Amino acid sequence: MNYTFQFGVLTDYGPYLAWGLWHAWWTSFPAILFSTLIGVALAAMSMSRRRLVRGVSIVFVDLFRTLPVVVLLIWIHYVLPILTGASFSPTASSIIALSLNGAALACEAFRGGLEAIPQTQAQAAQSLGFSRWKVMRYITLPQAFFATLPSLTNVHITVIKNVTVTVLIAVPEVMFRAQELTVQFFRPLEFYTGAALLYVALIWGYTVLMRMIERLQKWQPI
Amino acid sequence: MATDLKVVPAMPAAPDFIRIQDVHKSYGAVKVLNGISLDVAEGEVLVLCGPSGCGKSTLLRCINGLETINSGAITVGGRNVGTATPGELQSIRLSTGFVFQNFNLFPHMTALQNIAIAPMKILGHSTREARDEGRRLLARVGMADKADSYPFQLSGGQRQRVAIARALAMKPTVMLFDEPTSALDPEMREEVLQVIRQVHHDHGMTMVVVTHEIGFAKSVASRAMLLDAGEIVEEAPARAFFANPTQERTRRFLRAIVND
Repeated sequence: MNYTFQFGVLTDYGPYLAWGLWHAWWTSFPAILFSTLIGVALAAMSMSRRRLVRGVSIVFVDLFRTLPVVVLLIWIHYVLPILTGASFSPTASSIIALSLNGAALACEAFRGGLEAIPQTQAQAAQSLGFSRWKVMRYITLPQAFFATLPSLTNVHITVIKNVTVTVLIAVPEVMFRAQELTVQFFRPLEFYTGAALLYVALIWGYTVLMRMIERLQKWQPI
Repeated sequence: MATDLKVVPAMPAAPDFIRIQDVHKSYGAVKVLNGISLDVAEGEVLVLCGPSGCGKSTLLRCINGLETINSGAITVGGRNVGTATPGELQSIRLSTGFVFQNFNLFPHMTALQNIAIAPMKILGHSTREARDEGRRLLARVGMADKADSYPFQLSGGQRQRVAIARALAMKPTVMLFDEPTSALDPEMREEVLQVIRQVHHDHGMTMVVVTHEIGFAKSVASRAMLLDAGEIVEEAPARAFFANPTQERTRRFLRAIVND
């Protein structure tokens, strides 16, 4: 093997590559937000007394965490318009696909967090007159939030990494640009390594943010 | 799903606030309550004792609707716990404050927030009103300086005193204490018992107390009762119950806990 790395191309085209982070962030940030919100709702639904409500949650989770994200993305971007006539921009399709997948993963993270809260907490609240909904809203969810944060961070990281598959429908994020540049300059190893470093930086920055949020917890479980 | 339940106002004070009629409850094949009948009048302090597993905690939890009974009837303030609508069950729970063996404070709230949350979110009191009342209650249980402490920063006795204040904040008609001191170190028990005595003294609060604290029971209880295997073995005015119990089972039990 005698390959000579020429990382010099990155000094010329690095900024173009890095600008892809802007698109990666604006795809992953809404997807993180939606998957978290839908995930909370699904987790609450999985605790419902109604079988139908629990069933919807289970079917959703099992469907969207088993489907390969690539297929989900292609269905939403190409098949959905054929079936319904509604079409989305590449970024919007990506946000939808990543949110559905992320929500299924987030639901399981929240369910783990919710189940870690002892039943006695709900009983104490009920004895004070809290309805089931208010127990969830004021007692269980706020505690579960912090219990869930570490695994939720993992889910969010998965969502961010999944942005790399949006290259398939030409969202101009980092991986798409790396591909573009590779075709032009035949330097795949340099450009993909550069793309990897950019994603590492993005995700590392995100985990630092999440650790700061974890530190907001002033209380300890007893 | 945000059902805001209307709080049904309490019925005029009946002589017997809690009525328990021939209550049976079993977990699978295990009979926990086996035909319990008992009334608690307002102003009364009833002490329930009995060996562990005798059903005393279950009985208390059934009064509050935290457990359901298989047959018989429990009425609180004239409302049947078993057939209560969610709104009625809520007013039953508002009229019966519950203090748990393991305190069950909300760990994500400070002592003051623990006390203020239910008046704010259930009774609709303003934040200021709820916090002012919360501080008054904390002072009453001797915890004024711990308002901003989280439960993990408090000792067991302090946690239980906050839990008592939390229940009192809802201005219940009757307080149900489920072994309030048995999870505590001996030296912390007295501080909690003192608070319970004081609550009774200040308000003549109706109380049902599951406890093995004989000294406390003698000084506060108006009536005492021994439960064994889901049945009432003996029921008598507190003084008679502890001084000369009529049943051999009661004598054996009292000897055992005194020697304990």
